[in-house]
Amino acid sequence: MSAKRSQRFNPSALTEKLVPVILVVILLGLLAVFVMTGLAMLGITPGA
Amino acid sequence: MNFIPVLSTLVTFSFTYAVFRRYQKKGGTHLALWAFGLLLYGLGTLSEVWMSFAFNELVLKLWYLTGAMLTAAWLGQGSIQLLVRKGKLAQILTYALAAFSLLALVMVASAPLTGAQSTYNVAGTISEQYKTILTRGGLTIFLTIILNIYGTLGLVGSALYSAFLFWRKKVLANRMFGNILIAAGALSPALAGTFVKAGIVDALYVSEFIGAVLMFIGFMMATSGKE
Repeated sequence: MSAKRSQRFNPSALTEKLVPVILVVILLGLLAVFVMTGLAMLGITPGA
Repeated sequence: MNFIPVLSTLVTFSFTYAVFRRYQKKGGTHLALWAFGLLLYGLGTLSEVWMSFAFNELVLKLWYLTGAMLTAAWLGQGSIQLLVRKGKLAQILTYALAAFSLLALVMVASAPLTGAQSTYNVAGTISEQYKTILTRGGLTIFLTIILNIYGTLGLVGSALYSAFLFWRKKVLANRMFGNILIAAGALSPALAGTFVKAGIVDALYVSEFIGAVLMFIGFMMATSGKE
């Protein structure tokens, strides 16, 4: 029980706000990769 | 000589060693798969080092097979192995990936080169020049895309999902931050490929270095502390 408790953390106000923003940014980057890959497969990207 | 692939190779092989040592210590198929994926990563960047000295057909093909086709897929397979614990789905996917990897090996090994190989510029990057040198059939290109989508989704998706769970439960801060770094690092080379497709800039070498460093730090963070 105490070991479980020690694994918990109290995020600072900055961490509380920053982490979800970073996760969303990475997710958007991932989506951009897939969208661009799809467009490249269709042959409509300049560098494909 | 381009120094960035040298640095990437050093970082990646150190990372491979760290993951393999952990596999020896703790076991776990996911660690073996990650170590294999990182070995492929390192072979890809090592090929870039070689090609900055002289053109070699075998090394070009090794670069395409490891760096362009298989690295992301095997790293992603490690993450899928870690997350998909029920049933034999992860095992089946590993066998399927092994079969597709053999197919990729045969296709790349048998791909003919064009006459453009004589104009290869060692001062440039492979990523800027391989398309005019290596003849890739439609199936090879299709397989490359599928393997990269599968691997990127597996690796980045799993790391994002894990980081989100740790953040929501407010537990294991080291693993949460570690997974964020792994997700960002894994996305780095994929984004570089996106920039190339968009015709913006070819920053593959830099992105590979950033990706290797971020993932290595992320792995060390995630595996540090109490377990």
